[in-house]
Amino acid sequence: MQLALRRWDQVLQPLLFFVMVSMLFPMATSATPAELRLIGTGVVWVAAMLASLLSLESLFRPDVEDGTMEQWVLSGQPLAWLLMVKMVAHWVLTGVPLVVFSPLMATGFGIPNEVLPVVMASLALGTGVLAALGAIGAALTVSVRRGQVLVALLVLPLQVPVLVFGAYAADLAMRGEPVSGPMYLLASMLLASLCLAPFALAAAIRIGVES
Amino acid sequence: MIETYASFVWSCYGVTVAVWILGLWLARRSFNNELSAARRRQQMSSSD
Amino acid sequence: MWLWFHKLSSPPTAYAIAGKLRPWFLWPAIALFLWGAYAALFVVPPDYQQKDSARIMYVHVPASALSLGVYMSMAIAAAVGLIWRIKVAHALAASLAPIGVALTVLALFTGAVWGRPMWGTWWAWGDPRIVFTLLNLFLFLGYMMLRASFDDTQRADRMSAVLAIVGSVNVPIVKYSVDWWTSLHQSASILKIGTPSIDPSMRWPLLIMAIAYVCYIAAVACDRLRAEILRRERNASWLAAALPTK
Repeated sequence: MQLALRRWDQVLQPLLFFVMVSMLFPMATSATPAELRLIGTGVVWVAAMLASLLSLESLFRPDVEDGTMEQWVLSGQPLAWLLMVKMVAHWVLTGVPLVVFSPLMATGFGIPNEVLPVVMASLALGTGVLAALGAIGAALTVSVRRGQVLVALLVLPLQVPVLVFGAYAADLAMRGEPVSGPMYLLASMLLASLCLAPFALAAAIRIGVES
Repeated sequence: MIETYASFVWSCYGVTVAVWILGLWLARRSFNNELSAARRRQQMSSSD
Repeated sequence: MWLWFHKLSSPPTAYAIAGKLRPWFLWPAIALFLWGAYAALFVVPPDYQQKDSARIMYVHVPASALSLGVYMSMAIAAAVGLIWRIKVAHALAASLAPIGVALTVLALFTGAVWGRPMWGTWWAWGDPRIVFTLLNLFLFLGYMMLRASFDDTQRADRMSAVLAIVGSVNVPIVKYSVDWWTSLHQSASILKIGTPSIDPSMRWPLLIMAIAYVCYIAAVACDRLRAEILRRERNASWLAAALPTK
Protein backbone atom coordinates (compact mmCIF):
# COMPACT_ATOMS: atom_id res chain seq x y z
CA MET A 1 0.00 0.00 0.00
CA GLN A 2 2.78 2.39 0.97
CA LEU A 3 4.59 1.63 -2.24
CA ALA A 4 1.45 2.42 -4.15
CA LEU A 5 1.01 5.72 -2.39
CA ARG A 6 4.42 6.67 -3.56
CA ARG A 7 3.34 5.96 -7.10
CA TRP A 8 0.56 8.48 -6.66
CA ASP A 9 0.46 9.39 -10.29
CA GLN A 10 -0.84 5.92 -11.02
CA VAL A 11 -3.76 6.73 -8.79
CA LEU A 12 -4.25 10.15 -10.27
CA GLN A 13 -4.20 9.17 -13.92
CA PRO A 14 -7.21 6.83 -13.92
CA LEU A 15 -9.11 9.41 -11.91
CA LEU A 16 -8.39 12.14 -14.42
CA PHE A 17 -9.37 9.75 -17.19
CA PHE A 18 -12.67 9.13 -15.40
CA VAL A 19 -13.33 12.85 -15.20
CA MET A 20 -12.40 13.47 -18.80
CA VAL A 21 -14.39 10.61 -20.27
CA SER A 22 -17.45 11.69 -18.34
CA MET A 23 -17.05 15.17 -19.73
CA LEU A 24 -16.72 13.94 -23.30
CA PHE A 25 -20.34 12.93 -23.56
CA PRO A 26 -22.01 16.28 -22.95
CA MET A 27 -19.35 17.85 -25.13
CA ALA A 28 -19.88 15.45 -28.00
CA THR A 29 -23.64 15.34 -28.01
CA SER A 30 -25.83 18.35 -28.28
CA ALA A 31 -28.01 16.87 -25.59
CA THR A 32 -30.49 18.87 -23.61
CA PRO A 33 -30.21 18.87 -19.83
CA ALA A 34 -33.15 16.51 -19.63
CA GLU A 35 -31.48 14.05 -22.00
CA LEU A 36 -28.21 14.28 -20.09
CA ARG A 37 -30.02 13.44 -16.90
CA LEU A 38 -31.31 10.29 -18.57
CA ILE A 39 -27.91 9.00 -19.65
CA GLY A 40 -25.89 10.47 -16.80
CA THR A 41 -25.90 7.46 -14.52
CA GLY A 42 -24.89 5.16 -17.37
CA VAL A 43 -22.10 7.46 -18.54
CA VAL A 44 -20.62 7.78 -15.05
CA TRP A 45 -20.62 4.01 -14.71
CA VAL A 46 -19.03 3.41 -18.11
CA ALA A 47 -16.36 6.00 -17.37
CA ALA A 48 -15.65 4.28 -14.05
CA MET A 49 -15.32 0.92 -15.82
CA LEU A 50 -12.92 2.26 -18.40
CA ALA A 51 -10.88 4.10 -15.79
CA SER A 52 -10.56 0.95 -13.72
CA LEU A 53 -9.19 -0.85 -16.77
CA LEU A 54 -6.37 1.66 -17.10
CA SER A 55 -4.99 1.03 -13.67
CA LEU A 56 -4.70 -2.70 -14.22
CA GLU A 57 -1.43 -2.45 -16.07
CA SER A 58 0.44 -1.64 -12.89
CA LEU A 59 -1.25 -4.31 -10.83
CA PHE A 60 0.75 -7.44 -11.60
CA ARG A 61 3.10 -6.77 -14.45
CA PRO A 62 5.80 -4.83 -12.54
CA ASP A 63 5.93 -7.50 -9.84
CA VAL A 64 6.12 -10.30 -12.34
CA GLU A 65 8.84 -8.60 -14.30
CA ASP A 66 11.08 -7.85 -11.34
CA GLY A 67 10.65 -11.29 -9.85
CA THR A 68 8.64 -10.32 -6.79
CA MET A 69 5.70 -12.43 -7.89
CA GLU A 70 7.91 -15.45 -8.26
CA GLN A 71 8.96 -14.97 -4.65
CA TRP A 72 5.35 -14.90 -3.64
CA VAL A 73 4.62 -18.10 -5.51
CA LEU A 74 7.61 -19.86 -4.02
CA SER A 75 7.02 -18.60 -0.50
CA GLY A 76 5.19 -21.01 1.71
CA GLN A 77 2.20 -18.74 2.12
CA PRO A 78 -1.10 -19.34 0.30
CA LEU A 79 -0.88 -17.43 -2.93
CA ALA A 80 -4.64 -16.86 -3.15
CA TRP A 81 -4.60 -15.01 0.15
CA LEU A 82 -1.64 -12.82 -0.83
CA LEU A 83 -3.27 -11.96 -4.12
CA MET A 84 -6.56 -11.16 -2.46
CA VAL A 85 -4.83 -8.64 -0.22
CA LYS A 86 -3.17 -7.10 -3.25
CA MET A 87 -6.47 -7.00 -5.09
CA VAL A 88 -8.29 -5.32 -2.21
CA ALA A 89 -5.50 -2.78 -1.84
CA HIS A 90 -5.80 -2.02 -5.54
CA TRP A 91 -9.56 -1.67 -5.20
CA VAL A 92 -9.27 0.80 -2.37
CA LEU A 93 -6.58 2.79 -4.11
CA THR A 94 -8.41 3.10 -7.41
CA GLY A 95 -12.01 2.83 -6.28
CA VAL A 96 -12.03 5.42 -3.50
CA PRO A 97 -11.06 8.33 -5.74
CA LEU A 98 -13.73 7.29 -8.24
CA VAL A 99 -16.39 7.09 -5.57
CA VAL A 100 -15.36 10.42 -4.10
CA PHE A 101 -15.45 12.23 -7.41
CA SER A 102 -18.52 10.53 -8.81
CA PRO A 103 -21.00 12.99 -7.23
CA LEU A 104 -19.22 15.78 -9.05
CA MET A 105 -19.53 14.03 -12.38
CA ALA A 106 -23.11 12.98 -11.72
CA THR A 107 -24.09 16.52 -10.83
CA GLY A 108 -22.55 17.60 -14.09
CA PHE A 109 -25.21 15.50 -15.78
CA GLY A 110 -27.94 17.11 -13.77
CA ILE A 111 -28.56 14.16 -11.50
CA PRO A 112 -30.45 15.40 -8.42
CA ASN A 113 -28.73 15.52 -5.05
CA GLU A 114 -30.94 12.88 -3.45
CA VAL A 115 -29.72 10.32 -5.96
CA LEU A 116 -26.02 10.98 -5.41
CA PRO A 117 -25.63 8.75 -2.35
CA VAL A 118 -27.04 5.86 -4.36
CA VAL A 119 -24.58 6.56 -7.14
CA MET A 120 -21.73 6.60 -4.66
CA ALA A 121 -22.89 3.50 -2.82
CA SER A 122 -23.41 1.51 -5.99
CA LEU A 123 -19.99 2.55 -7.25
CA ALA A 124 -18.43 1.73 -3.89
CA LEU A 125 -19.69 -1.83 -4.17
CA GLY A 126 -19.31 -2.06 -7.92
CA THR A 127 -15.70 -0.90 -8.14
CA GLY A 128 -14.83 -3.85 -5.91
CA VAL A 129 -16.29 -6.33 -8.37
CA LEU A 130 -14.73 -4.43 -11.26
CA ALA A 131 -11.36 -4.60 -9.52
CA ALA A 132 -11.69 -8.34 -8.93
CA LEU A 133 -12.66 -9.08 -12.52
CA GLY A 134 -10.03 -6.69 -13.81
CA ALA A 135 -7.41 -8.39 -11.69
CA ILE A 136 -8.35 -11.73 -13.24
CA GLY A 137 -7.91 -10.21 -16.68
CA ALA A 138 -4.58 -8.69 -15.68
CA ALA A 139 -3.36 -12.00 -14.28
CA LEU A 140 -4.38 -13.89 -17.42
CA THR A 141 -2.44 -11.53 -19.66
CA VAL A 142 0.49 -10.85 -17.37
CA SER A 143 2.98 -12.49 -19.69
CA VAL A 144 1.49 -11.11 -22.88
CA ARG A 145 3.35 -8.20 -24.31
CA ARG A 146 1.17 -5.19 -25.02
CA GLY A 147 -1.80 -6.96 -23.62
CA GLN A 148 -3.78 -3.93 -22.52
CA VAL A 149 -6.43 -4.06 -25.21
CA LEU A 150 -6.75 -7.80 -24.73
CA VAL A 151 -7.37 -7.27 -21.02
CA ALA A 152 -10.17 -4.88 -21.85
CA LEU A 153 -11.73 -7.32 -24.32
CA LEU A 154 -11.60 -10.15 -21.82
CA VAL A 155 -12.77 -8.21 -18.82
CA LEU A 156 -15.50 -5.92 -20.19
CA PRO A 157 -17.95 -8.75 -21.02
CA LEU A 158 -17.57 -10.11 -17.52
CA GLN A 159 -18.11 -6.67 -16.01
CA VAL A 160 -21.36 -5.98 -17.84
CA PRO A 161 -23.64 -7.39 -15.08
CA VAL A 162 -22.04 -4.96 -12.63
CA LEU A 163 -22.67 -2.09 -15.01
CA VAL A 164 -26.26 -3.14 -15.55
CA PHE A 165 -27.13 -3.33 -11.88
CA GLY A 166 -25.11 -0.34 -10.82
CA ALA A 167 -26.68 1.97 -13.35
CA TYR A 168 -30.07 0.38 -12.68
CA ALA A 169 -29.82 1.22 -8.99
CA ALA A 170 -29.18 4.86 -9.78
CA ASP A 171 -32.03 4.92 -12.29
CA LEU A 172 -34.41 3.49 -9.72
CA ALA A 173 -33.35 6.16 -7.28
CA MET A 174 -34.05 8.83 -9.86
CA ARG A 175 -37.58 7.51 -10.20
CA GLY A 176 -37.95 7.49 -6.45
CA GLU A 177 -38.22 3.71 -6.21
CA PRO A 178 -36.48 1.53 -3.63
CA VAL A 179 -32.99 0.46 -4.63
CA SER A 180 -32.55 -2.46 -2.27
CA GLY A 181 -32.83 -5.06 -5.05
CA PRO A 182 -29.88 -4.09 -7.20
CA MET A 183 -27.87 -3.01 -4.17
CA TYR A 184 -28.19 -6.40 -2.54
CA LEU A 185 -27.20 -7.97 -5.84
CA LEU A 186 -24.13 -5.76 -6.07
CA ALA A 187 -23.23 -6.64 -2.50
CA SER A 188 -23.55 -10.35 -3.15
CA MET A 189 -21.53 -10.00 -6.36
CA LEU A 190 -18.86 -8.27 -4.32
CA LEU A 191 -18.80 -11.02 -1.71
CA ALA A 192 -18.68 -13.72 -4.36
CA SER A 193 -15.87 -12.07 -6.26
CA LEU A 194 -13.84 -11.42 -3.11
CA CYS A 195 -14.12 -15.08 -2.21
CA LEU A 196 -13.67 -16.66 -5.62
CA ALA A 197 -11.48 -14.32 -7.62
CA PRO A 198 -8.32 -14.97 -5.59
CA PHE A 199 -8.38 -18.61 -6.65
CA ALA A 200 -8.59 -17.70 -10.30
CA LEU A 201 -5.87 -15.12 -9.70
CA ALA A 202 -3.59 -17.67 -8.06
CA ALA A 203 -4.11 -20.16 -10.87
CA ALA A 204 -3.41 -17.57 -13.56
CA ILE A 205 -0.38 -16.09 -11.81
CA ARG A 206 1.12 -19.53 -11.27
CA ILE A 207 0.78 -20.30 -14.96
CA GLY A 208 2.11 -16.90 -15.94
CA VAL A 209 5.16 -17.02 -13.72
CA GLU A 210 6.48 -20.49 -14.46
CA SER A 211 8.88 -20.45 -17.38
CA MET B 1 -47.68 -4.87 -40.74
CA ILE B 2 -45.74 -7.80 -42.04
CA GLU B 3 -47.87 -9.49 -44.65
CA THR B 4 -45.84 -12.57 -45.24
CA TYR B 5 -43.21 -14.05 -42.99
CA ALA B 6 -41.83 -16.17 -45.79
CA SER B 7 -38.75 -14.03 -46.38
CA PHE B 8 -37.94 -14.08 -42.67
CA VAL B 9 -38.32 -17.82 -42.31
CA TRP B 10 -36.43 -18.71 -45.46
CA SER B 11 -33.58 -16.32 -44.71
CA CYS B 12 -33.14 -17.95 -41.32
CA TYR B 13 -33.08 -21.45 -42.71
CA GLY B 14 -30.83 -20.32 -45.52
CA VAL B 15 -28.34 -18.73 -43.15
CA THR B 16 -28.43 -21.81 -40.93
CA VAL B 17 -27.61 -24.06 -43.85
CA ALA B 18 -24.87 -21.65 -44.92
CA VAL B 19 -23.34 -21.66 -41.44
CA TRP B 20 -23.50 -25.45 -41.31
CA ILE B 21 -21.76 -25.82 -44.64
CA LEU B 22 -19.20 -23.16 -43.79
CA GLY B 23 -18.42 -24.78 -40.46
CA LEU B 24 -17.94 -28.20 -41.98
CA TRP B 25 -15.83 -26.85 -44.82
CA LEU B 26 -13.57 -24.73 -42.61
CA ALA B 27 -13.02 -27.61 -40.22
CA ARG B 28 -12.20 -29.97 -43.06
CA ARG B 29 -9.85 -27.42 -44.56
CA SER B 30 -7.94 -26.87 -41.32
CA PHE B 31 -7.65 -30.64 -40.93
CA ASN B 32 -6.34 -31.09 -44.45
CA ASN B 33 -3.86 -28.25 -43.99
CA GLU B 34 -2.50 -29.81 -40.83
CA LEU B 35 -2.37 -33.21 -42.50
CA SER B 36 -0.32 -31.99 -45.44
CA ALA B 37 1.94 -30.01 -43.11
CA ALA B 38 2.52 -33.14 -41.05
CA ARG B 39 3.17 -35.20 -44.17
CA ARG B 40 5.70 -32.64 -45.35
CA ARG B 41 7.50 -32.71 -42.04
CA GLN B 42 7.50 -36.49 -42.15
CA GLN B 43 9.07 -36.53 -45.63
CA MET B 44 11.67 -33.97 -44.67
CA SER B 45 12.76 -35.88 -41.61
CA SER B 46 12.79 -39.27 -43.30
CA SER B 47 14.86 -38.02 -46.20
CA ASP B 48 17.62 -36.82 -43.87
CA MET C 1 -13.74 -48.09 -17.55
CA TRP C 2 -11.02 -45.76 -16.34
CA LEU C 3 -8.63 -47.61 -18.59
CA TRP C 4 -10.77 -46.70 -21.57
CA PHE C 5 -10.89 -43.07 -20.44
CA HIS C 6 -7.15 -43.09 -19.95
CA LYS C 7 -6.63 -44.51 -23.43
CA LEU C 8 -8.93 -41.87 -24.86
CA SER C 9 -6.75 -39.17 -23.41
CA SER C 10 -3.81 -40.29 -25.52
CA PRO C 11 -3.49 -38.30 -28.72
CA PRO C 12 -3.17 -41.21 -31.15
CA THR C 13 -6.27 -42.91 -29.77
CA ALA C 14 -8.28 -39.71 -29.78
CA TYR C 15 -7.12 -38.98 -33.30
CA ALA C 16 -8.13 -42.40 -34.57
CA ILE C 17 -11.48 -42.44 -32.82
CA ALA C 18 -12.38 -38.96 -34.03
CA GLY C 19 -11.62 -40.04 -37.55
CA LYS C 20 -13.78 -43.13 -37.31
CA LEU C 21 -16.70 -41.40 -35.61
CA ARG C 22 -16.99 -38.43 -37.92
CA PRO C 23 -19.12 -40.06 -40.62
CA TRP C 24 -21.37 -41.45 -37.90
CA PHE C 25 -22.06 -37.90 -36.84
CA LEU C 26 -22.05 -36.17 -40.18
CA TRP C 27 -24.61 -38.18 -42.11
CA PRO C 28 -27.17 -38.42 -39.32
CA ALA C 29 -26.73 -34.69 -38.82
CA ILE C 30 -27.58 -33.94 -42.43
CA ALA C 31 -30.41 -36.46 -42.57
CA LEU C 32 -31.96 -35.27 -39.33
CA PHE C 33 -31.62 -31.65 -40.34
CA LEU C 34 -33.39 -32.27 -43.62
CA TRP C 35 -36.14 -34.22 -41.89
CA GLY C 36 -36.51 -31.66 -39.13
CA ALA C 37 -36.48 -28.72 -41.52
CA TYR C 38 -39.05 -30.38 -43.73
CA ALA C 39 -41.25 -31.02 -40.73
CA ALA C 40 -40.75 -27.52 -39.39
CA LEU C 41 -41.51 -25.87 -42.68
CA PHE C 42 -44.26 -28.01 -44.13
CA VAL C 43 -45.75 -30.40 -41.64
CA VAL C 44 -46.22 -28.33 -38.52
CA PRO C 45 -49.31 -26.14 -38.61
CA PRO C 46 -48.87 -22.37 -38.42
CA ASP C 47 -48.90 -20.94 -34.93
CA TYR C 48 -52.15 -19.34 -33.88
CA GLN C 49 -50.59 -16.00 -33.09
CA GLN C 50 -47.29 -15.96 -34.91
CA LYS C 51 -48.41 -17.65 -38.12
CA ASP C 52 -45.41 -18.94 -39.99
CA SER C 53 -42.68 -16.95 -38.27
CA ALA C 54 -42.76 -19.42 -35.39
CA ARG C 55 -41.05 -21.86 -37.72
CA ILE C 56 -37.86 -19.94 -37.05
CA MET C 57 -38.00 -21.41 -33.58
CA TYR C 58 -36.78 -24.71 -34.96
CA VAL C 59 -33.44 -23.25 -36.01
CA HIS C 60 -33.15 -20.58 -33.34
CA VAL C 61 -33.76 -22.59 -30.16
CA PRO C 62 -31.27 -25.39 -30.89
CA ALA C 63 -28.66 -22.84 -31.88
CA SER C 64 -28.99 -20.80 -28.71
CA ALA C 65 -29.38 -23.76 -26.35
CA LEU C 66 -26.38 -25.49 -27.86
CA SER C 67 -24.23 -22.39 -27.90
CA LEU C 68 -24.54 -22.58 -24.13
CA GLY C 69 -23.97 -26.33 -24.23
CA VAL C 70 -20.83 -25.90 -26.30
CA TYR C 71 -19.53 -23.27 -23.89
CA MET C 72 -20.06 -25.56 -20.92
CA SER C 73 -18.44 -28.46 -22.77
CA MET C 74 -15.52 -26.24 -23.62
CA ALA C 75 -15.19 -25.07 -20.02
CA ILE C 76 -15.43 -28.62 -18.68
CA ALA C 77 -12.89 -29.91 -21.19
CA ALA C 78 -10.59 -27.03 -20.26
CA ALA C 79 -11.05 -27.76 -16.56
CA VAL C 80 -10.31 -31.45 -17.09
CA GLY C 81 -7.20 -30.50 -19.02
CA LEU C 82 -6.13 -28.09 -16.31
CA ILE C 83 -6.72 -30.36 -13.34
CA TRP C 84 -5.49 -33.64 -14.75
CA ARG C 85 -3.07 -32.16 -17.28
CA ILE C 86 -4.57 -33.97 -20.26
CA LYS C 87 -3.51 -32.41 -23.52
CA VAL C 88 -6.33 -33.94 -25.52
CA ALA C 89 -8.84 -32.22 -23.27
CA HIS C 90 -7.22 -28.87 -24.00
CA ALA C 91 -7.25 -29.69 -27.69
CA LEU C 92 -10.95 -30.44 -27.46
CA ALA C 93 -11.64 -27.14 -25.74
CA ALA C 94 -9.75 -25.29 -28.45
CA SER C 95 -11.72 -27.17 -31.10
CA LEU C 96 -15.06 -26.24 -29.59
CA ALA C 97 -14.45 -22.51 -29.41
CA PRO C 98 -14.97 -21.65 -33.11
CA ILE C 99 -18.03 -23.91 -33.18
CA GLY C 100 -19.40 -21.93 -30.26
CA VAL C 101 -18.82 -18.69 -32.10
CA ALA C 102 -20.74 -19.96 -35.11
CA LEU C 103 -23.66 -21.18 -33.01
CA THR C 104 -23.89 -17.97 -31.01
CA VAL C 105 -23.82 -15.81 -34.12
CA LEU C 106 -26.50 -18.03 -35.63
CA ALA C 107 -28.60 -17.75 -32.49
CA LEU C 108 -28.31 -13.97 -32.46
CA PHE C 109 -29.08 -13.64 -36.16
CA THR C 110 -32.08 -15.99 -36.22
CA GLY C 111 -33.27 -14.44 -32.99
CA ALA C 112 -33.15 -10.98 -34.50
CA VAL C 113 -34.95 -12.07 -37.65
CA TRP C 114 -37.59 -13.85 -35.56
CA GLY C 115 -37.91 -10.87 -33.27
CA ARG C 116 -38.81 -8.51 -36.05
CA PRO C 117 -42.19 -10.03 -36.90
CA MET C 118 -42.85 -11.36 -33.42
CA TRP C 119 -41.97 -8.41 -31.22
CA GLY C 120 -41.61 -5.66 -33.79
CA THR C 121 -37.94 -5.10 -33.20
CA TRP C 122 -34.67 -6.58 -34.46
CA TRP C 123 -32.91 -6.04 -31.17
CA ALA C 124 -33.77 -5.07 -27.61
CA TRP C 125 -31.03 -3.92 -25.29
CA GLY C 126 -33.39 -4.33 -22.40
CA ASP C 127 -33.86 -8.05 -22.96
CA PRO C 128 -31.34 -9.83 -20.71
CA ARG C 129 -31.16 -13.04 -22.70
CA ILE C 130 -30.18 -11.25 -25.90
CA VAL C 131 -27.55 -9.13 -24.15
CA PHE C 132 -26.01 -11.99 -22.21
CA THR C 133 -25.93 -14.17 -25.32
CA LEU C 134 -23.98 -11.40 -26.98
CA LEU C 135 -21.64 -11.47 -23.99
CA ASN C 136 -21.30 -15.22 -24.51
CA LEU C 137 -20.09 -14.46 -28.02
CA PHE C 138 -17.46 -12.11 -26.63
CA LEU C 139 -16.41 -14.77 -24.15
CA PHE C 140 -15.85 -17.27 -26.96
CA LEU C 141 -13.91 -14.70 -28.95
CA GLY C 142 -11.93 -13.69 -25.88
CA TYR C 143 -11.00 -17.31 -25.29
CA MET C 144 -9.73 -17.64 -28.85
CA MET C 145 -7.85 -14.35 -28.65
CA LEU C 146 -6.20 -15.24 -25.36
CA ARG C 147 -5.10 -18.56 -26.82
CA ALA C 148 -3.64 -16.82 -29.83
CA SER C 149 -1.61 -14.40 -27.73
CA PHE C 150 0.67 -17.08 -26.35
CA ASP C 151 3.40 -18.79 -28.34
CA ASP C 152 3.82 -21.59 -25.84
CA THR C 153 0.99 -24.09 -26.33
CA GLN C 154 1.00 -25.28 -22.75
CA ARG C 155 0.67 -21.78 -21.34
CA ALA C 156 -2.01 -20.94 -23.89
CA ASP C 157 -3.93 -24.07 -22.87
CA ARG C 158 -3.80 -23.38 -19.18
CA MET C 159 -4.45 -19.64 -19.20
CA SER C 160 -7.39 -19.94 -21.55
CA ALA C 161 -8.71 -22.76 -19.38
CA VAL C 162 -8.84 -20.37 -16.43
CA LEU C 163 -10.67 -17.85 -18.59
CA ALA C 164 -13.15 -20.45 -19.83
CA ILE C 165 -13.93 -21.52 -16.28
CA VAL C 166 -14.36 -17.94 -15.05
CA GLY C 167 -16.59 -17.11 -18.01
CA SER C 168 -18.86 -20.06 -17.40
CA VAL C 169 -20.66 -17.94 -14.83
CA ASN C 170 -22.41 -16.33 -17.79
CA VAL C 171 -24.11 -19.56 -18.87
CA PRO C 172 -26.55 -19.84 -15.96
CA ILE C 173 -27.17 -16.11 -16.29
CA VAL C 174 -28.33 -16.59 -19.87
CA LYS C 175 -30.40 -19.60 -18.95
CA TYR C 176 -32.15 -18.13 -15.93
CA SER C 177 -32.35 -14.52 -17.04
CA VAL C 178 -35.76 -15.12 -18.52
CA ASP C 179 -36.98 -16.24 -15.10
CA TRP C 180 -35.37 -13.38 -13.22
CA TRP C 181 -36.55 -10.60 -15.49
CA THR C 182 -39.78 -10.28 -17.42
CA SER C 183 -39.12 -9.05 -20.89
CA LEU C 184 -39.48 -10.27 -24.43
CA HIS C 185 -38.36 -13.88 -24.01
CA GLN C 186 -40.82 -16.11 -22.26
CA SER C 187 -40.00 -18.57 -19.52
CA ALA C 188 -38.94 -22.06 -20.46
CA SER C 189 -41.82 -23.54 -22.33
CA ILE C 190 -40.10 -26.59 -23.68
CA LEU C 191 -38.13 -28.16 -20.89
CA LYS C 192 -40.42 -27.44 -17.99
CA ILE C 193 -40.93 -30.37 -15.72
CA GLY C 194 -44.49 -31.46 -16.06
CA THR C 195 -46.67 -30.44 -18.94
CA PRO C 196 -44.81 -28.31 -21.43
CA SER C 197 -46.78 -25.44 -22.73
CA ILE C 198 -45.92 -26.02 -26.37
CA ASP C 199 -48.36 -28.27 -28.10
CA PRO C 200 -46.80 -31.74 -28.66
CA SER C 201 -47.62 -31.63 -32.33
CA MET C 202 -45.19 -28.75 -32.59
CA ARG C 203 -42.54 -30.15 -30.31
CA TRP C 204 -41.15 -33.19 -32.04
CA PRO C 205 -39.39 -31.44 -34.95
CA LEU C 206 -37.56 -29.40 -32.31
CA LEU C 207 -36.17 -32.58 -30.80
CA ILE C 208 -35.08 -33.79 -34.22
CA MET C 209 -33.39 -30.50 -34.97
CA ALA C 210 -31.69 -30.50 -31.58
CA ILE C 211 -30.21 -33.95 -32.21
CA ALA C 212 -29.23 -32.84 -35.70
CA TYR C 213 -27.37 -29.87 -34.28
CA VAL C 214 -25.60 -32.02 -31.71
CA CYS C 215 -24.45 -34.43 -34.42
CA TYR C 216 -23.29 -31.49 -36.52
CA ILE C 217 -21.30 -30.06 -33.63
CA ALA C 218 -19.69 -33.46 -33.05
CA ALA C 219 -18.83 -33.87 -36.73
CA VAL C 220 -17.13 -30.48 -36.91
CA ALA C 221 -15.41 -31.10 -33.58
CA CYS C 222 -13.96 -34.36 -34.90
CA ASP C 223 -12.20 -32.58 -37.75
CA ARG C 224 -11.02 -29.71 -35.60
CA LEU C 225 -9.81 -32.02 -32.87
CA ARG C 226 -7.79 -34.04 -35.34
CA ALA C 227 -6.32 -30.87 -36.80
CA GLU C 228 -5.48 -29.63 -33.32
CA ILE C 229 -3.82 -32.92 -32.38
CA LEU C 230 -1.79 -32.92 -35.59
CA ARG C 231 -0.67 -29.39 -34.89
CA ARG C 232 0.54 -30.26 -31.42
CA GLU C 233 2.12 -33.62 -32.00
CA ARG C 234 4.70 -32.31 -34.39
CA ASN C 235 7.38 -34.90 -34.06
CA ALA C 236 5.64 -37.74 -32.37
CA SER C 237 6.50 -41.18 -33.60
CA TRP C 238 2.93 -42.42 -33.83
CA LEU C 239 2.33 -39.97 -36.64
CA ALA C 240 4.52 -41.98 -38.96
CA ALA C 241 2.20 -44.94 -38.66
CA ALA C 242 -0.98 -42.90 -38.84
CA LEU C 243 -0.24 -40.63 -41.74
CA PRO C 244 0.22 -42.85 -44.78
CA THR C 245 -3.25 -44.22 -44.19
CA LYS C 246 -5.77 -41.50 -44.77
